[in-house]
Amino acid sequence: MSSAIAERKKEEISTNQIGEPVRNRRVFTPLADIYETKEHILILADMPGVDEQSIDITLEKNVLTIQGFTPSEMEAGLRLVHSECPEGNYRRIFALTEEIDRDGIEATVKNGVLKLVLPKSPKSMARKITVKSE
Amino acid sequence: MFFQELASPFDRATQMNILQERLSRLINDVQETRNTEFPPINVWVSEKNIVVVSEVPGIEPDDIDLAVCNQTVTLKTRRELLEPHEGQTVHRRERGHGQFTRSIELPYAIDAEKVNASFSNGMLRVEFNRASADLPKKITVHAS
Repeated sequence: MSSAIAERKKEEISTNQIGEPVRNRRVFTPLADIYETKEHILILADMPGVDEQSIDITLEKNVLTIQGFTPSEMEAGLRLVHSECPEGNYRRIFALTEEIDRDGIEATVKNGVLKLVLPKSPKSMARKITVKSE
Repeated sequence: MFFQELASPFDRATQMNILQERLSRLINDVQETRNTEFPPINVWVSEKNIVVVSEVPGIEPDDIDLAVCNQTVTLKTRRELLEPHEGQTVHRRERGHGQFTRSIELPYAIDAEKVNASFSNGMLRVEFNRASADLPKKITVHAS
């Protein structure tokens, strides 16, 4: 048995709210970790089967959309007898509360995990005000 | 047919046992399809080979420990948590971490020498070939 159990599983989302897809494929919410420091917000998302070519990230106002497209998993001449990871695309939308420095966004994919670094814009960063004695 | 069997004038206790068994099988089947085990596994089978596909995002290929013993494949792996930095706040932590082990039984005997494992973009794909001794043999029928 595993010492830590993956309690959550990627869940299928209803695509109606975002618009109907052309191809009838399932869409999953990738599991994500979100960390924040003073300088940036870091998002890690599990998207197995996705490479740097098949990922699409858009930031519109404060809405961040992550999309990943996976290749078909069909195995020629074989039939699927046990399935726990059905094939499908990924989509997840986050609403960001803080101002993001759009030019400084960095996105990398490694081993099926998307790493997104969103630097906070300097004007939204908390400023420390030093109090001088008169 | 199910209800006919229930209404048949056999021993009540036996009937109850059958019913209970069926119910538990139903529930267990549901659990199987909604498996939350990590890593999730797909198994593809043909008469000559088996392909096991597993989603292991964020795991280095070196951290994957794959072993075959008779017809059982054991997949051991671990995933590290991002080390905490000073002044870092955690907003969400959905991705599992720690050590994971899974074993699956293959439908037939395989040739342990001819196993092909590949890894790309967080997907592990292992191909097994059926043992030549286990291959079904065609029997020709002669007219007498």
